[in-house]
Amino acid sequence: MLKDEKEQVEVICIQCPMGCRMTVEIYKQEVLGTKNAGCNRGIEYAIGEIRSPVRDFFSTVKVKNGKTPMLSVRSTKPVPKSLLLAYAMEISKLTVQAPIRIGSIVVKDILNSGIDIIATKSIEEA
Amino acid sequence: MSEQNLDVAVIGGGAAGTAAAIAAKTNGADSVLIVERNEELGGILPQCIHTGFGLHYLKENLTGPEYIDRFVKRIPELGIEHKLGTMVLDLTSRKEILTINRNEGVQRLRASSVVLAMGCRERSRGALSIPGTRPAGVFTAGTAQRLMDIEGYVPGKKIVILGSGDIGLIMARRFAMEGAKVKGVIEVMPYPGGLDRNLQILKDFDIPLYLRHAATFVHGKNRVEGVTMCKLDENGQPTGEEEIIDCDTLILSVGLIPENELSNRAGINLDPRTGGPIVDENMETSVEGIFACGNVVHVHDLVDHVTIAGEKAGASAAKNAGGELQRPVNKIQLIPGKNVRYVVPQIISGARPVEIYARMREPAYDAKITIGEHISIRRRVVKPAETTIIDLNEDRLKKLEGSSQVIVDMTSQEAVTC
Repeated sequence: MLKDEKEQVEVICIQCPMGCRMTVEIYKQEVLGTKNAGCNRGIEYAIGEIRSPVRDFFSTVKVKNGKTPMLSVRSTKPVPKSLLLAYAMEISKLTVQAPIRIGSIVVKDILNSGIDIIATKSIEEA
Repeated sequence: MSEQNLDVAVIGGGAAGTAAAIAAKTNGADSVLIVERNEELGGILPQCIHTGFGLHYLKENLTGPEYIDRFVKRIPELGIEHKLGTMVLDLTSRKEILTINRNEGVQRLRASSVVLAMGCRERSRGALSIPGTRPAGVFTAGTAQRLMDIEGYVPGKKIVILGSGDIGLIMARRFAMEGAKVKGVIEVMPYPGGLDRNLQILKDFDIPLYLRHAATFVHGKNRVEGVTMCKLDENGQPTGEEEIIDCDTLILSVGLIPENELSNRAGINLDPRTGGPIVDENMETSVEGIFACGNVVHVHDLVDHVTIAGEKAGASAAKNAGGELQRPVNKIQLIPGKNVRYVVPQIISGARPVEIYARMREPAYDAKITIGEHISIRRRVVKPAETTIIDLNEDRLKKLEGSSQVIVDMTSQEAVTC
């Protein structure tokens, strides 16, 4: 729900080692301004963080008949931050069969996002 | 007892060891062997399933298993031998290695060069002496990570994390992603210990960070039931202001210790500041022909730098085996001074450009780093969580001519506040 008042949000910039602690003023999800950004990249990053923050998704999937019981996986692209847990729930239902090759697709087009979930390691058959 | 002679023996098959073995082979060593205690190569990386690896060295954003796969797959391709499930029992200054495993029993290896790449281990509860009961549910972060990402067990539901270093923060995210409630991260220092990109995790998952706090008591009979946390004053002393956090699991992310039992057995000189061998710019230790790289030398913040150190040690090991290693003629000792915890390598020749890695004590903006009396370098920011890399190029080395010892100091105009 959108708040009907101005809000101040702190964003730590991760674009360079300076790690500027920026304050972003928002009103109804619109960025009004940023404070303490050391450069324009920081301002862009802060706006992206407010409008549509994305994160790398990675997790594990159960393996049947493998030498090890868990397969590590990742998304092919960063995913909307708000969907991280939904993706985790979705892949928690899965069991994959060994052998598995690193880079192979584990879930195609997860939750109709156009993003695939791929294996980040190879697992041999037990 | 069977025996084997080698050009280069590498102890440890993680990021440092695999990079060293590859570099040894590609620099002309004929017989190269990796001895690894675990049942697979890769060290800690197969369990580090998060991204952020390889940004510097490979210019790609990879997960730990993907990063190490790039190196592990080259081991058989290059004809490098390896022994898994094999423990090194002893190492001598004459470069004899005693190994043991299930199939071969005890074996003696003799190598022209040895590369130490044993990595580090985690500081445990015993090393911290946190008072309280001794219930189940206290894990080091790495153990919890292995349980979750390799074995497939989530070791708790209500989690308190002690230590705000990168591993603690990464485990905070893993627990949150597996549906556990992370009740807080407790940090004794007045600033967080991890990289900025990992601090984002706390915001993403609404996890409180308690700076200048200590865990002072562990509660629970069979299983952890809570942790008492005490606020510290500006001198780091307990204020008496306490709070019990209800939890079933305490995760310790309180530091890593280079694993140097073998270095000690071989009589290698260690640096008390790093906990690892003193090395020169070839990554050679105080014992001729024994080299060291990776977290056994000092605890790195990025695996990319471990790989680079491994390559340097491996190349030096191959040259030593071929009788071509150029050792420093005039040794210049780099001594950490004001606000500098340590400097690696500790010894340089001054004859060749070299990158040195310095670990600062406190974060600071507008920092001035001085090396001896004539070199002064400015940095916009320095942080203990991120190694400060200084390029000692030919111009700078000229200013060190004739020195046998120089002090590395850091002073700043402005301290970082969080």
